[in-house]
Amino acid sequence: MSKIAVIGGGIAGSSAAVELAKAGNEVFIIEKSSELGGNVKHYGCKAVEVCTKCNLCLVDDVINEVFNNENIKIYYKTLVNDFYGEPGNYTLGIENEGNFSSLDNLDYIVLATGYTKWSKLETGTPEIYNDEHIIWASELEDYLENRLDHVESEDPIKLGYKPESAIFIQCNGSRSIQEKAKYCSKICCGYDYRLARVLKHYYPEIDITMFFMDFQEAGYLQSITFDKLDEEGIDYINCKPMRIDKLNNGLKMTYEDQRTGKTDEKNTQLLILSEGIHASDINETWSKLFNLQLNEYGFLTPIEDEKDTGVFLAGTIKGPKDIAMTISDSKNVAYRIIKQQALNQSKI
Amino acid sequence: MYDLVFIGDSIESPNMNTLSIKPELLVKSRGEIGNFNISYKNTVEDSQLNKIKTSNIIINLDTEKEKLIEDTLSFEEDLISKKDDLAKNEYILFVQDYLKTSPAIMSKFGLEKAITLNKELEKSQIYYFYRSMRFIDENDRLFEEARRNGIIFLKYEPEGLIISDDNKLTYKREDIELEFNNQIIMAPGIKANNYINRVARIFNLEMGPDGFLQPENVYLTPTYTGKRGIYVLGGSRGITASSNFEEELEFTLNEIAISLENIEPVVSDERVVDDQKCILCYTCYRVCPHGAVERDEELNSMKINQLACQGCNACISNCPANAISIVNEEEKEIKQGLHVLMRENSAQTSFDKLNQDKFSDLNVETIPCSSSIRKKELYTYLQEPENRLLILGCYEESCKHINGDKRGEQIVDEVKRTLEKLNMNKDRIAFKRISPRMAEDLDQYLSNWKEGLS
Repeated sequence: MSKIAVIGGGIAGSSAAVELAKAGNEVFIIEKSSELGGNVKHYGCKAVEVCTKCNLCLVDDVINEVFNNENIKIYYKTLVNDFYGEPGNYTLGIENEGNFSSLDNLDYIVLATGYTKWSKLETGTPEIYNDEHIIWASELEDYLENRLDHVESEDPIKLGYKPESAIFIQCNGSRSIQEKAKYCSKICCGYDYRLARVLKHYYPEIDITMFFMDFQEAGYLQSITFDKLDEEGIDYINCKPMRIDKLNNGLKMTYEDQRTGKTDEKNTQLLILSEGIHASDINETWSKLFNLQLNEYGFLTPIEDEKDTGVFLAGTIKGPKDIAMTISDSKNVAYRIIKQQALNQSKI
Repeated sequence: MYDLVFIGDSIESPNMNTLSIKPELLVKSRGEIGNFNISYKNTVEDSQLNKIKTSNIIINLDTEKEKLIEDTLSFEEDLISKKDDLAKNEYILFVQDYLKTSPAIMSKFGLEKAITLNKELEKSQIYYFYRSMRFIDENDRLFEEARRNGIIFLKYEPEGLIISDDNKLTYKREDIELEFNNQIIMAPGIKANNYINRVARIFNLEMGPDGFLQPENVYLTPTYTGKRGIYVLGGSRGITASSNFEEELEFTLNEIAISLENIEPVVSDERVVDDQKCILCYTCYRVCPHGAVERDEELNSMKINQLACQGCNACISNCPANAISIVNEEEKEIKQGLHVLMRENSAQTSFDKLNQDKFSDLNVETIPCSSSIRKKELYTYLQEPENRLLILGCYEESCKHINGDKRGEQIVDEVKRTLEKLNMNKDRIAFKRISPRMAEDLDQYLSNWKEGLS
């Protein structure tokens, strides 16, 4: 049995903690907020007539397992501000609302502090983005927590109006040098496709268009393909719009249609901006405190072998992943620690 | 006793005692996690059976690749050996996403091949036609390198790329129109392995709509099947499964390593078949989503494998002979009033988020699955005229027990029809689907339902 600190109580931290605790370890989850669940804690269900496989159900299961496991202790509203010691005997300095203390004799550390949404970093936002017709994809995800599927309602997803049209902009905050994210965030195609289906579910007549650069497989879903978009009656245009203008009751998008090479316009009542996965600022602190490599986009990788240092990285702290991949990655991290414990045991 | 048997190609698995069996030679599988009994032949013609035991099984079958157009080459072929022939072409044409969007692994193969070929062939210009580039692994870097090396990438719309019967390729976009009569190298069409039906039948596994093993279900990601101890990897699972092969393999081998140390039953209460009552109709075998039911030759009765059982009770509710029961199950007393049966994990999770005081007048019960409900029991709930019953199950395709939601809904529909025939109010019983993230919806619906509104 070991003492293990898991920093971050999102999907990654919770999944790793559950596996480690099941193996009989004493696990401490250190969470900066007052809830477990991280970025997706208030996202809603995206089922239509059938489940669209967003994997949120798994998140609730994992969090409930954390609550039901006696080997896990959770520190809410707690920050980590110091780390010292040697493998097998580390100390973490922690701070809970101004009170400082330490967690001693730790055998392993799992860092699982996740990512930051592009919407939180976006600084070049034009004023028009405050328009009620423009929302971030994660805002729509949050609205869906209160969706009404079994109760008659004029406004089942709390938009405040009935949209006749919607436009999604893909690759926003991804695949752009200006946005310091040359990479693909891997998840936006998936959630935009699901959100589009939810809109179609409530407003069958709605006219939906997606502006895209490339379509990704989007995780463990059987793949988003053009055929699937056709099936749903979703139109797709291969470019990023050049201009967005405010109208009386909506917005006007100006774009270059690459099919014809001409500039074209499209009006919409609802514009949904996808948000790429960006590295969290805290990664810089972690890189110094735990001696980790910060890559060009700010994600972390180990410098020395995790098995030797006892400091492991789980989930999107390493780069973009969807929910299912974050869970399996974090379980893998836990399994690696358990394997290492067995090895150390046999040496003694 | 093997730790692990591969059906299809074997993969290096350190510290495990493994065997690989070709799918066409597989004959029979019985047993459960920790103790599968497998029979197989040495050759297809052979009548002699080999019998072995294994703890776990990985089905690792490659997909079938088909040429979409005659006389073209494939991304997957050894193109370097054909470089002298290819060098005769002024243009070499790579095409992906033809007819259907190609998976990311094909973007990877295509980019790699185009880059290698570009280095070998000094005089040929490579064009690469695609609808969407898919980024896994190093594809970002490969895409950039390919463009830097002078490969020309052209995106197309379905109507913008036409390949004629004599393999002439026409490309149209904006004001560009290009025509080529050169060697075409294409991403192949991909289908499920030819033996996948055989493997599904032998292991009693479900097939997905695309002809691959195990329909998509969030509870089965990444490589689980409905049956404990049997995993599907790579091309067995779908055309895009190869994209995350390394992570999925590590996950699967870790799961297996842990199960080899210790396997616990999923449910604590045993489900047992009374061999005196069993009529061997195989209903339980057919309805069990976890492949946990088998025939016990000695007792001449069906039996339930305890380690495979995941406690959904579909066998109990569907058994026409009433032969299956839960050991030590307490007789429940059904009170008068309003009853809500909630599926654990889904509706129950949402309900737990609500202010319970508001619903203290409801008789709430947790059920492991909608397929647990028995028709006879439902009538008991409805016996008193003022009683009403609400069953809250999962959304379709999100049931941990695969099809439990559909079975539950069918039973409720049957009860409704019966009530209608008897001139009774069929709305006294209802089935609704609630996910774990629909607390607000459940709150409002339950409040209405309580008052008799819906």
